[in-house]
Amino acid sequence: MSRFHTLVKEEHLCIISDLHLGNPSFVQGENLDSFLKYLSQKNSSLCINGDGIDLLQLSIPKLALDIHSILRGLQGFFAHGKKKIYYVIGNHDIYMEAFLEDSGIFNVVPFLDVISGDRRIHIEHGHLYDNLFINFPRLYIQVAKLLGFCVKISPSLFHLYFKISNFFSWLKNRNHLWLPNPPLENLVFMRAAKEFFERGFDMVVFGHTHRFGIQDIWNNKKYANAGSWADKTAHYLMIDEGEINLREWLLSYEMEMTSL
Amino acid sequence: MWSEKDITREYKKGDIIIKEGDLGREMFIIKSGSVDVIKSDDKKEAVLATLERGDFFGEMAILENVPRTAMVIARETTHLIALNIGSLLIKIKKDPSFAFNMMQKMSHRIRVLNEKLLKKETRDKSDRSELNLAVTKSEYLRNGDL
Repeated sequence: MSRFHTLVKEEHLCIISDLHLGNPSFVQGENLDSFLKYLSQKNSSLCINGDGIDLLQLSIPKLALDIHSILRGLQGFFAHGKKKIYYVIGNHDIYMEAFLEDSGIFNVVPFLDVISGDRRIHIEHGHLYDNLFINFPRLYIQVAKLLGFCVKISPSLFHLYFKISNFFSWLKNRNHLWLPNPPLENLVFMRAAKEFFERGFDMVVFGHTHRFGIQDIWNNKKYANAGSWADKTAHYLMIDEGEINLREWLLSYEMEMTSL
Repeated sequence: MWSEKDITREYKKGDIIIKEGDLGREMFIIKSGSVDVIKSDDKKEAVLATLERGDFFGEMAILENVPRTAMVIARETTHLIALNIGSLLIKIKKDPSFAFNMMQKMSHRIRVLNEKLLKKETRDKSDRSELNLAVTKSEYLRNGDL
């Protein structure tokens, strides 16, 4: 029996990414709990597309709080039907693989290929295409740890780092910004997505950059990123019979839904 | 320069993509369409597998430089990406999960072969013990004792 089920068939799949549980900048605990409760009512499996737990910038007291909120939500999720939770490993939780797998809650995978409707979707965290992580792994980890130290002083530095990173992506992409659909991400991620389109995938979903969005690349091939929950806003991608949509989760929305 | 245009090939329904016994220098990824993998002897042909979009084939020939072990025919208009050993290495660098998929496929093959081998050994052992029993029985009948 194969340990990794990297190819699955799911008609309804919700994708969230980059929760960074344990990172002081993760402030969506209550929101995540209500989201998981909402999702447990739906006929949908869940995919956490990497960096669910943040080992690089970990605060143990914060992790204890965050885990408590997510476990409550997950218990509710499992109480309804035989839905699955896929956990794609990212770069902040790379050493958590065995622990997560042994928990019995998650199907841990390095990436996930999903068949939904007549579409083929590749889901991967995306850190393997980040030039800094691949070419200078030690430097990357040292920078991440240093940032982790700074985040303990001021969590807003975490968001500042991603703002700066996205600004540099924008600078790199400036020659393409005149196009009708300027690239959503740093071009290295778009090029990586093209490799998957070439081998028969219709959609590629990455995380890692915290930049949410969906973009048509060509011939109805789509690139998507679910963004991050370690941010002021929380987004998720919903795949329904091969169609993908980006949605924002608001606590007030859940309250409205329950009051209806 | 390695580009998509250079390596994408189109085959019409019924076109032979790979002939059994040929020396291959390429493997293929199915970009669109589907193919049949066919094994034949003098008398008959058998479809071993039907492969679809996203599947790949022909990797044994480029990894070991051995003749093709089966024939592959297009079931419909099919677009393939052809990879020689150089472009395979570039592909793996650009798309590491493809290497993981290849290893998964090979690991699966080894496991299936191991299981078959184990079954065959168990069957052979059982045949041998039945044979031993039959020999012992016939010796007993011939000699009247053991």
